Amino acid sequence: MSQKIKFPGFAVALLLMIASSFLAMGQQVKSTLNDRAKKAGGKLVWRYRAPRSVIYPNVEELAKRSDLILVGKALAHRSNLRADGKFMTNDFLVRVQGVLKGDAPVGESTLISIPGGARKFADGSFAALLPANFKAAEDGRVYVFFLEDKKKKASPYLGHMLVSETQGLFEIRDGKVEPADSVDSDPVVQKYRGMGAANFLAQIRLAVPKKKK
Amino acid sequence: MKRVFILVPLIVLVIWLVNGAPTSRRSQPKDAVLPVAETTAAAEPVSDPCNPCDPDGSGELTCLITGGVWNSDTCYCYYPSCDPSGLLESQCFVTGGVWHPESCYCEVPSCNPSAPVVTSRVPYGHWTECHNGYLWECDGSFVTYTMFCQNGSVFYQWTEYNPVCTNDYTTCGGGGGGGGGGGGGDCWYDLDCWCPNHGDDPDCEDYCWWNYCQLE
Repeated sequence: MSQKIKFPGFAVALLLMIASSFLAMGQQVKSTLNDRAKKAGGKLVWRYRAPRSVIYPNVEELAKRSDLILVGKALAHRSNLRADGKFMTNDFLVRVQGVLKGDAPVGESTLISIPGGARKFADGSFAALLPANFKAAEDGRVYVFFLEDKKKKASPYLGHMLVSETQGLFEIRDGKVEPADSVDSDPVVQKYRGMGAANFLAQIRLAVPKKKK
Repeated sequence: MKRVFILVPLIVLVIWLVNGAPTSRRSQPKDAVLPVAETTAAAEPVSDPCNPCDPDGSGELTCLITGGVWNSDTCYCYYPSCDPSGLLESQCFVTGGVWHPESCYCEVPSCNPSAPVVTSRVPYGHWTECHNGYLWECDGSFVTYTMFCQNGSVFYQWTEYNPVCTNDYTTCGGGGGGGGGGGGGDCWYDLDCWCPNHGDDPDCEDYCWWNYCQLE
């Protein structure tokens, strides 16, 4: 029943150009999380709002821009401070159960870095990065991940990154799709929330060109 | 005595035959292959004509939910390794060990670490969220977990931020963005409400894009 929203090519290109300056996570932040925590009296909860300068209308567009699309179970996670100390991710160990696009070792595990996490610093101060309007991934759950391949792009993170911080993660729960994005007005949320997971996977597969054998 | 030797294997064989193939939840030997395309699952619209052996995707879904790995070319589902649930591997990851998937062996440092225990809980942070039309009051805590070695030294320690949210069925949000920044009254911070600088949205001070706010 999903209807296709068609964006003119130039509009998408323009949006991407505008977006490129905002896309790198937390790069506008000037001080380290440790400094910010100290300045805030020893405890900092950063309600991180991921950039929404690029909003994809559907999974076809998300799929086009993803190097890797994986289905997998989040086994465990650890939070990691970026080398510059200004940003944190939860690095999820994900057992790859299916590869819808790209190359990944099926049946083995891979690391996926998602904004979030917490840390106690050596000086006793605490910092947490809590994404707003985004349901954090949980261990033991099955997700579809739209990813940038870490091998293709230099990255300060340990794992693969979501191609869209806001729209690149979908949980498969009770046979239905639950986008991690919780902004109701987001077209991807409107279109896919509650959709049958099999149908959802089929739509992604249709959007990805078949590999030549 | 000889009869017993014949009888016991026979009983085992009969039980095995009666139960049929192992269920998907049970661990499978490495590279075990189960055709699940024939198993039934919730009906979905036929949506993938490119996948003739599993046109409605139900086989794939059953496979993924049960922790299997799906081969869409052959429509076969297999359950990898000696750790199908991933539990052993996740424990290994948490303890910082090195995982060997082929043998399911976790190489852990020699201190024989304990299970994680909560060694500190520092409550901090309060905020409200509007989800699915209801207002949630949230409080958070920094919780520190520690794993000790047998000699009492710290093996590994990490901190998580655990928010706990409750609601009393107070409604919020209303129809969402349609009105485009009017006064409505039932709009709560943290959502795609008004910005910039709406009084109910203290985070939304520095940057605004398409009615969404961003810090810094």
